[in-house]
Amino acid sequence: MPDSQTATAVTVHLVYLARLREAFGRADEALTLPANEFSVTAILAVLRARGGAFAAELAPGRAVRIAVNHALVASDETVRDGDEVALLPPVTGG
Amino acid sequence: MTVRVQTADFDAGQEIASLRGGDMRVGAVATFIGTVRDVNDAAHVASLTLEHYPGMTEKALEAIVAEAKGRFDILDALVIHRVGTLAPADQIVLVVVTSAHRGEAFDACRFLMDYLKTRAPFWKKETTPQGTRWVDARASDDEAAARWDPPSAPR
Repeated sequence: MPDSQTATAVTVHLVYLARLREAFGRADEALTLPANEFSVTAILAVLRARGGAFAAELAPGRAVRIAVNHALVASDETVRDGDEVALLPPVTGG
Repeated sequence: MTVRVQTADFDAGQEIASLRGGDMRVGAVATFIGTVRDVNDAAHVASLTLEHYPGMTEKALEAIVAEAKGRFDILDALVIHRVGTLAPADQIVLVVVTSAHRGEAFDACRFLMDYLKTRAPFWKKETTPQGTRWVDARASDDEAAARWDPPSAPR
């Protein structure tokens, strides 16, 4: 058993909704985070670095909200192994 | 307090009767029904497909209803939101609020819709003669929800 959290790989389950699902060409994927980078900000940085639709849709200033385990969070929120992290375009229900 | 996400249509009369449930304390019932229009942003809309985020949607709606219950003196509230493909004139959403007096019922009903519009994970996709398109969020919806924010504390 690892003796500290920093030695443990954190893998989250990413979920893409609505327009983002179509832009990224997938509904979800597993993402293992870089060591010691366990925040929502880090996840967005990894995705933007892929370029293409990821860089365009997640560019700073684009209105994308993040939900961790079904609750909206701020970008400095820390994620844990096994978390479901969803990327939501601005909602348009009602 | 009840929230439902469903593909099936709803019968507002039946839902209102069920929510009132013979509660003699109820003196006011406010209801809002949202329906599909056939024109949006200058384009004819043939159909509207509503997508949501299963798992989060119900929790988000329940949180909004709980918030309304905390802010207003109401007896009960119901939110039903449909998903799937709808046609113009179809019903999309139902909000019903019961209270002793009309003021709280009206206010809570409006609050529920304003918050639902900006916080519940639903997305609309329209089919028009030019193809399909995701509906853009409106700044006016954010402004409507912000009306319910507490005034900033004086510094």
